[in-house]
Amino acid sequence: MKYVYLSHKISKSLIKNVLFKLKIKMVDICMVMVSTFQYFADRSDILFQAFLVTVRLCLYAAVFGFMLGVLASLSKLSTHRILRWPATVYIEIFRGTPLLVQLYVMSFAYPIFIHEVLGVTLVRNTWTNPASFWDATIVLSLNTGAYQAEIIRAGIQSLPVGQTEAARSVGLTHTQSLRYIILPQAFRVVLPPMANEYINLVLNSSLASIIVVRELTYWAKVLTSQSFRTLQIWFVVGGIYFMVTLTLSRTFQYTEKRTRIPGLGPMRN
Amino acid sequence: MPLLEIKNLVKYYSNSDVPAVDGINLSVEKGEVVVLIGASGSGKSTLLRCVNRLIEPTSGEIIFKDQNILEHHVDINEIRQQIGMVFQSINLFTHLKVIDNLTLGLAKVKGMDKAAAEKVAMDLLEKIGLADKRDSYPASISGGQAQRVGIARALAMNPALMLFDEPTSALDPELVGGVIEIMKDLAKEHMTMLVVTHEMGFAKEAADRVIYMDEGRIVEEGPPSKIMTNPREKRTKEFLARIL
Repeated sequence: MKYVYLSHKISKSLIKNVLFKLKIKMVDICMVMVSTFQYFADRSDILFQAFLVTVRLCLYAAVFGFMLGVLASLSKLSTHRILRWPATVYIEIFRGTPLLVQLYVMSFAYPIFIHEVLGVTLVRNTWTNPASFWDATIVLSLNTGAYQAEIIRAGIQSLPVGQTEAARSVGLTHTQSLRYIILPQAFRVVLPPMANEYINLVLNSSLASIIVVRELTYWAKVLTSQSFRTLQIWFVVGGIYFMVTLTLSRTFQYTEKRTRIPGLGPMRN
Repeated sequence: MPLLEIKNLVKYYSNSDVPAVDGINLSVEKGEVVVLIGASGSGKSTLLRCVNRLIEPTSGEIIFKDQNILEHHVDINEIRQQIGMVFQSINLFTHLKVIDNLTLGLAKVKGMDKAAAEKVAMDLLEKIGLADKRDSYPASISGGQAQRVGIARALAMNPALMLFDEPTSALDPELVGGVIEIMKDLAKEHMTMLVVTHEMGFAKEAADRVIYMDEGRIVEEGPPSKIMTNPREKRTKEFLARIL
C-alpha cells in the first residue's frame, strides 16, 4: 500500500504505521535536543567568553559614547562657533555613514592611510593582535556618541529657558547650572530614546565580527561553519542578544520609574 | 549713594532696529520700593533683566554697590547672589523638592553645609507659611504656593536687591493675594525692590515710587499717589484708564 488517500477507509494497519513513524520522529527530536544540549554544554566556555567580549565592547562603547554624546551636544548648543562647528561635522559624519563602512575604514583603510602618510605600519587584525577589539570599541563609541549627542540635545532643548534663567539668577555658574539643573532634568526626558540607543548599540556590536573581534556573532559564524548546526546556533545566539537587550530595557524602565518627578507626566489613576 | 544706579541704558535685540530700552536713567535708594508699570512691549521686563545681566545691555552703565557690573572683569555670578529675582513663569527647579529649591544656591554658591542651609530654608518656608510643603515637588503645589517658594528661593541668598518680573501675572486671581502679601511684608522690612507689575493695589500701598514706561523710555515717575490719581502725561492717563 504505497499511497494512502484520506477518502479511503482508514485501516488499523495504517494507524499503526503512522504511530510508529511518529514514535521514530519523537525519538529523533529528543536525540537532536540532547545532542544539541550536549553540543552547547561542551562549548559553554567559548560562548561565555564570546558573551563577555560582547559585554565589554558594549560597556566601553556605552561609557565613551555617553561622554562623547554629552560633550558633542553641549558643543552643538554652544554660542561659540569654534565649538559648534566641529561637533556638527562629527555628528553628521558618524550619523551619515554606515557603521559597517566605519568599521572597515577604521580597521583596513585607516592603517593604509597611516602607512602612506607617516610611513608607519600598523599591525592589525591578525589572529594574535587584540587591536581589532579596540578598533571596534572606538568606532562603536564614536557612532553611538553621534546619535546620543542629538538625543541629549533634544532633551536639553525641551526644557524651558526659565530653568536656566532661574539657575543663573541665583548665582550658579554656567557649568553649575548645567550640572545641577539642566542635565538632571534632560536626563529624565532622554531616558526612553536612550534605551533605544543602547539596545541599538548592543545589536550593532555584532557587526564587529566582520573585523575579527571575537564576540558572540563571530563565534556563531565559526561554530556554524564547523558543525553545520546553523539553526540551533543562530537561535541560541539570538536568544543571548535578546536576554541582554531585555535586561537593558527593564533597567531603563526601572530607572524611569524611580526618577519620575511626582506631579509631572500623564495622569495616573 | 544709591544702591542701584542705571545710566543711559540702551538695549537693542539682535533681530530689531527699534531699541527695547532706549536710554534709561534710574536710581534706586537702599530700602526703596520702585514699581515699573507700562503696556506690554514697553521695555519694563528688558530693563529688569538687564539689572542682573540675564540680558546683556547694548550700552550704558549699571552701578550696583558702587561698581559698574557691566565691566568685563566683574564676576557676574558674585553679583547675582546679591540680586534676587522672581519670575512671571515662576521657574522653580522641577526636579527638586521645595526645600532643595531653596538650599541649592546656599550649598553650591555660598558653600554652606547642609544643616545650615536647611535651617535658613526652613525659616523662610516658615515665614511664607509653607513649612509643611518642604518635601513636595513644584508640580504638586499650587501656582500661588509655587510663586511664594520662588520668592523664598531668591530671599534665601540674602540679597540686597530684589527684582520682581510680573510675579502675579501667571496666577489665578484668587492666588494673587498671598503673593502680594509677602511682597508687602518685604517692603515693610525695607527690602530694596524693583517690581514690574500690573497690580495697582500693590503699587498704591507699598511703592515709594511708580515709574511709567513706554517705548523703552521713562515717561513719568513720582510717588504712587501722584501718578495713580493725578498723572501729568497724556500717555500715562490713557494707560491707567485702560488698566484700572
